[in-house]
Amino acid sequence: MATYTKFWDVIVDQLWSYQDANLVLDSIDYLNLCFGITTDHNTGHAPCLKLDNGATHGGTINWDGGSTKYLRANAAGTVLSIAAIDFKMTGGYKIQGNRAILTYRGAPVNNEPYDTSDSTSIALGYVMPFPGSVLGVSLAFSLVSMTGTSFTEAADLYKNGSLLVAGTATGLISPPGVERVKDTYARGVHTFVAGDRLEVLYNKGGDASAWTGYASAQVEVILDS
Amino acid sequence: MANFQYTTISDFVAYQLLQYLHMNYLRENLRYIAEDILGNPASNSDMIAQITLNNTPSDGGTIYFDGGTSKYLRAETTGDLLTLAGMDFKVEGTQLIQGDTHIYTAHSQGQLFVAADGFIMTGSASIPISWTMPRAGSIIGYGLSILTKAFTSSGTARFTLDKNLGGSPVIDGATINIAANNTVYTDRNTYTRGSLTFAADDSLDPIFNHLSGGSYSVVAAAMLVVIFDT
Repeated sequence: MATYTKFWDVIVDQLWSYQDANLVLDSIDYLNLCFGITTDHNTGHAPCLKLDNGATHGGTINWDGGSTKYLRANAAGTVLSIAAIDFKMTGGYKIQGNRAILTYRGAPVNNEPYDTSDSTSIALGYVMPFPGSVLGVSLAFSLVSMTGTSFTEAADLYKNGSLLVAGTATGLISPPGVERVKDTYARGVHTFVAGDRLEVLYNKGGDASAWTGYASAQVEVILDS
Repeated sequence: MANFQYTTISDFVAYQLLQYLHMNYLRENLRYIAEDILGNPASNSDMIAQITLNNTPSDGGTIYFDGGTSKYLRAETTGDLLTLAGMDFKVEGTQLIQGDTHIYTAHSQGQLFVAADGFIMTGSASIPISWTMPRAGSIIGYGLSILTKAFTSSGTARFTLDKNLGGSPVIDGATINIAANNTVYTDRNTYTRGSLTFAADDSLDPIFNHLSGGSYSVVAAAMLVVIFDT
């Protein structure tokens, strides 16, 4: 407790107090800004939490009292990473926007069949229970025998029997030999809805007139729900 | 405030009261942040135990990253949904996402089922092959498509999923009326997580289940959507 001997000492002390109070008020305003709190917000909870750490990263939430287990936005703000701790969906909940692989395996003999129907005229394909997008199509083709001088193979993707997107052809394959190729797409470009059928057609290139081989194709999808 | 001029005692008292109001405002905000947002300070931990967010009625709370409002993790007001927007989600190092979704696919590889039961992966009623689950989890969806061949008369069939090659089927699909040749028939369904469960090492056996009548054969393709619990 200060002992005032002059009235001006009281005034000076009050001015200091006022500056201290302003400093604390500024800090409170900053916290309000970080939590998205406005003067008319009084629900008992903060509306949001705004994070950023300048150039180092875009904000971090640390767990377990240290700094090794965290949820962090990278400096570019393009990736939210979780580190040193598993991420788990509990109860009846799931991840929406999850990626998955559809696998296909065929054995074309002198023809260009749809994979699952093994027919050259009727596409079958896997029925998608959920909507989503195709993110990629991969193909490996093992050519066993060939009549002719050149052979390539592509995996064309069909939706409900109609071409969705043509695949890039492999390089020239000489029997016995294997070539691989892949195509990738941005999410939302090649979409499907629940109930759509996704089928692969093996599309031969080159002048081969007869051939045998084995095909393995994978379609990477992302499910929207 | 540059020009305090206390000319009377009452001015001084007014100033003191103003300071008192400021302090009350500060105390209230600190209590709000400490207790309502950051958890109970009585826990006496050096760390924040939890952060409680809510922005009723717009959303259930948002964490913004990178100094703006386009990159966020937000609890939506409907659907019990936590949405990540504007960024990819990455799990680093050796950590895993637990509770993620996977798809199993199988087809009869061009082999034909005559109008009879058969395992879809082998095209045979007597040669079973299954998917073996590496972890415990739930089935949340399936899809079946069949292409009819050599059709001469109508019949009914469905998708069935057995577990461990016996007992009651885990899934009996909708009845499909097979009525034409060279025709694609489909069926699909979705399930709530936790309603159709499996344990690690369980086998799930996709089956083309002939129900009644008909003279035909089919090519079949099936897919299963599962969530692993761990």
